[in-house]
Amino acid sequence: MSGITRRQFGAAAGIVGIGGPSGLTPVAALAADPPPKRGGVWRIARNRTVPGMDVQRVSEHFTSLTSMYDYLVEGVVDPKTYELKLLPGLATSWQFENDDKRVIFNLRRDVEFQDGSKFNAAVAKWNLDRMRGNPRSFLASNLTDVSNVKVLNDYTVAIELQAPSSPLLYVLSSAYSWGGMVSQAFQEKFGDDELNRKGCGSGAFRLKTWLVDDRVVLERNPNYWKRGVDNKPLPYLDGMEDIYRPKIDQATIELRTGAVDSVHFPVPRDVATMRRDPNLEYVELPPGEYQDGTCGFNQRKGPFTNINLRKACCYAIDRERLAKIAGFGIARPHAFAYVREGMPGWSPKDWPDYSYNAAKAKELLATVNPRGVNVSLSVIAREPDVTYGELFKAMWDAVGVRTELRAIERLEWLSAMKKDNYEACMWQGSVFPGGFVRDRLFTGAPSNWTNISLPALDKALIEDSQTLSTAKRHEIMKNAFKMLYEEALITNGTATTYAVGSNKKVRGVRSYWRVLVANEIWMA
Amino acid sequence: MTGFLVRRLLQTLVTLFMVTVITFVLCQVLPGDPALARAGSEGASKELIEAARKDLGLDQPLPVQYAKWMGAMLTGDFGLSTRSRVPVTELFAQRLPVTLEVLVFAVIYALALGIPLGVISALYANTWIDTTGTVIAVTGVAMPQYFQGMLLILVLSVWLGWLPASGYVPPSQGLWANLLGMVMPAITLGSVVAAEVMRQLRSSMLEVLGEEYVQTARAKGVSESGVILRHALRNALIPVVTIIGMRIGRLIGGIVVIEVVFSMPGIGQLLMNSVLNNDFPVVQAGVLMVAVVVTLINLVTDVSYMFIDPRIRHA
Amino acid sequence: MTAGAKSRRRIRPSLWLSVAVLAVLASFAVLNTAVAPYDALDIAFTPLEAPSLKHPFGIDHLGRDVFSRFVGGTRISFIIGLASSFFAAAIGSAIGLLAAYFVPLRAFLMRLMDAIWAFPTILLAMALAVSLQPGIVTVIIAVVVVYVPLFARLVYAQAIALLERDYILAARAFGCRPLRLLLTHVLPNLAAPVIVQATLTLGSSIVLESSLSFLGIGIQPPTPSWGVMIQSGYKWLETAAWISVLPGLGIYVTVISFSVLGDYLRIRLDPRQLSGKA
Repeated sequence: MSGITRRQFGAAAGIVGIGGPSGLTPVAALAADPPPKRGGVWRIARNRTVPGMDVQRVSEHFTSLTSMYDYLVEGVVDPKTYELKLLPGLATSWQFENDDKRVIFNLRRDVEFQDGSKFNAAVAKWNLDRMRGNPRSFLASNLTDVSNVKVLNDYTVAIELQAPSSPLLYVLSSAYSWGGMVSQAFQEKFGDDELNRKGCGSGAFRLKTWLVDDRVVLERNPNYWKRGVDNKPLPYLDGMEDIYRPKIDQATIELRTGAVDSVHFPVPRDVATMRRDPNLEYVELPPGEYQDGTCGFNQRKGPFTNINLRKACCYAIDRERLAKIAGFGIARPHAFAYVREGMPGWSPKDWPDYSYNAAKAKELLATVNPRGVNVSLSVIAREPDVTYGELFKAMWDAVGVRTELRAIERLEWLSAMKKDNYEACMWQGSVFPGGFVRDRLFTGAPSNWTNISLPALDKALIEDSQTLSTAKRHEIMKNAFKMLYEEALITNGTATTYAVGSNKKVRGVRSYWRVLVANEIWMA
Repeated sequence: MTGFLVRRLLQTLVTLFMVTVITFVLCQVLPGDPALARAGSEGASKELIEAARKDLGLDQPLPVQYAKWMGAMLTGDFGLSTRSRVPVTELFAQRLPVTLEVLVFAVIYALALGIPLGVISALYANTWIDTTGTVIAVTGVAMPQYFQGMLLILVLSVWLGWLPASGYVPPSQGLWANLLGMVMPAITLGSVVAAEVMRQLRSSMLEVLGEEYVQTARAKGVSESGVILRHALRNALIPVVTIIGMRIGRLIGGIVVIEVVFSMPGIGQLLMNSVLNNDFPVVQAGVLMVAVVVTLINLVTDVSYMFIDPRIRHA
Repeated sequence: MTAGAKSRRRIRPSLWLSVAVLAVLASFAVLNTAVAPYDALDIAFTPLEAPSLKHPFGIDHLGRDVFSRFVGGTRISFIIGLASSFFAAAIGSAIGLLAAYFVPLRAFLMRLMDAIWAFPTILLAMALAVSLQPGIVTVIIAVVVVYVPLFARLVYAQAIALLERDYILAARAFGCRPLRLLLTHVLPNLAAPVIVQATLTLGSSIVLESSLSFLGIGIQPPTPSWGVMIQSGYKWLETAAWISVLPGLGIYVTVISFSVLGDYLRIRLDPRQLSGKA
């Protein structure tokens, strides 16, 4: 899979499969690869630490965690077309009824959790209710249209909606990571804390040991229901390790010396080294991307209540320079947060053009205060946020917006956002499967860090989540983003396609959008 | 002497009590709301946070909280990590062997480098050999430990490829790999103490070499190396023992930075992550544990020093 | 004594070297922008260029002149070192004196010092640095708290011995007031060891600040403290070592110079103590 370049998307590509399961392709069959070998332990390093084994209660995505669970829907990115396909998972098929206000899932009968309990419709309902009822869950905000979950018979469950829901299948799929099915028996017997410590799913891997803040060690689940191309149960691996390396460039050194097999999201600077090394390869995994320099403003109080100042700061960002200095040519300039080509709504020609224009920035600043303005920029104290913060500060200083850079620990940063204790802030954004942004832009939504609250935008977001037609969604979101960018509430710096740096021994690399499909990986 | 011992023990108890109070106060001062962390920082509603506050007993007056914490600790209940919900004792048990191993190797390195350097510097006092030895030793103190670690990684790992850059391999998975991984952390951590050992040994040996009984031994015709090894060194080593004891506290303090630089899953790394992530039960338990260990080691060092050299009595 | 004279002669070359180094660095600290060829925060240059005539310390990963940042870092290091040392010495000495003179306070104060000293330096400093707003003042406070027990114990031990002296006892018998006694009789005799310790603590403070900045909780980027420079240049050690190594050498050279100076002062100010413990 080496040497794959980014592909351009067709206008409507990126969303596939709403309305029924697509043709079933044996998930692991890639004609060009030799037959998979069994055995081995795959070690992948990431710069985020796994906070717990309860997949419904974490706020980040981890390959290891996802591999411990199964999902109603499999959301896999086709490695040839880069389309996200929604395929049968624990649900063998689904039907839309009642004007798309009811979705009926037919469930597999051969699935067992690692504690021996069986998966059935009652367990599915229990899980769905748990997701909806969990105030800490990011899922809940995307499941607000679900009014009820009914068990129709032992292996059929129906989700009743108050309006058609376009995000539903995505949110319940492995592409979103958080909708995994958990063992009800385990949770009821041992409680949430124990579930967070040990996890209990039906996935291809199960927990062996968890050294908090160091690594998660998984072993294969011998009773997994899914089969590989050799018709024996997946996974091909004997085990895997998800290693936490806060300094991810140190992980690259370990990759070169063979101490780890893959580095998830390597730093752009190391990409050239990886490409030069004959044993390594840099595999891009579009269409997912993370966006650096996603920058929001406090529009309720402070200097940024003035729209001209917000616009000035958007124009002052030299994104080409960012992409070169911080992104090493791997990152691309990208001014529009939360959306990209191929996602519904993508229409830069209809949106204001915030390309770098220092003169315009100064002009706008003059209308705010001819002698310049003092602002503060709050970033999370990690890379690459701090580097982007330093560059933003330099760029804003250069046009007369004197910036104080505040690097804050993540939890403190979240707390400051909640308390409205900031002027400008920066984080790392991303694009979600299906292009749903309701949990980021809706009033009061959990990831709406800067508390954006535009009634017209809210209305559009609700409409978007209740529209199943791709074309209609495109129109709605186009206007929604237009509102957002005309108000200059959010801007962005660069975008970098998701990628993994691997030893060439590692084969079968495919992604569930954000994490890798561990049960298909094998070591040559 | 028993009077001295009892007095010293009482002093230690008072110190320990103060250590617990300081730890408690520090954790109150740390930013971040443990109730928020417990409730799940990102999606939590006001009601959930209030419930978590009650659940954690944070709505009670501070002295009551302190008393409860002390009471729980004395029965061995250190609570659960707010992030992972894993019992604090389990977290420490997982990581203690790593930290202990690094500490032991650091002390071994400090002695292995400091003693010969000290002896040589004393024997060739005031020559260029002495100056070189001093510079080597002082490097350990003058260069920040993380910087030493960085340079060692660059040279021994990236350029020469002799040693692994980071991480820890448990002995069960390979004794040789485990030992290789210990080399750089041990050197970096032990270099500060090596410097102290070297300086202390040098000055003690200079003192002892000038003493009368050494002159007498020389006059009796004992060979030069005999004089050195048997008489001077043995006596000069006494203060070195106490130096190690006193400096253990500094060693333990350096562990945090070392474990961060070399990505070792030990107590130091745990404490650092916990401080930065407002994981209070872990911070309280960890800081307390380290401070208690240091205080006890000081006690043992003081008492043994008193035994070794009966001329010294502390006020 | 011949030994003293010999050692004075021996350390002269290294002493002059140390004084010279400190003088140069001090001038950087004082003159700051007058000495620095460019603005320490300006990202105008091509990143990652090796040292050259125009940029003697090279250019860092964001396009800033490393020498200008080095000069800025010198100022910060010296400010923190001097302030921390001074306040730690002042507060610690006060506590030590109080404990020595006022018997009822003695146990409490000294046990408190023991308790603070028992905490691992970096954790104590971390906890303090994290609790307050990041910045120079916070770092100074954290470093002062860590080193106060050192001075307190030093002064306490010396003061206890001094207070037993005949002339002090005589002065007390004559009704000399405590404050006057401490200031005019006891304090001058303590000055020497305190000054020596303060010189050594200068070096340690600079190292501690750089450790805090390295861990991300000391001085905040893009302010160019040496610790911040080492931290941000860490990733570039292989390809652009000048970003990290030069400030690291700066710390090294500064601390050694202060150490040599301190050793010299120790011998000079109290020639009876040829072998002292820090």
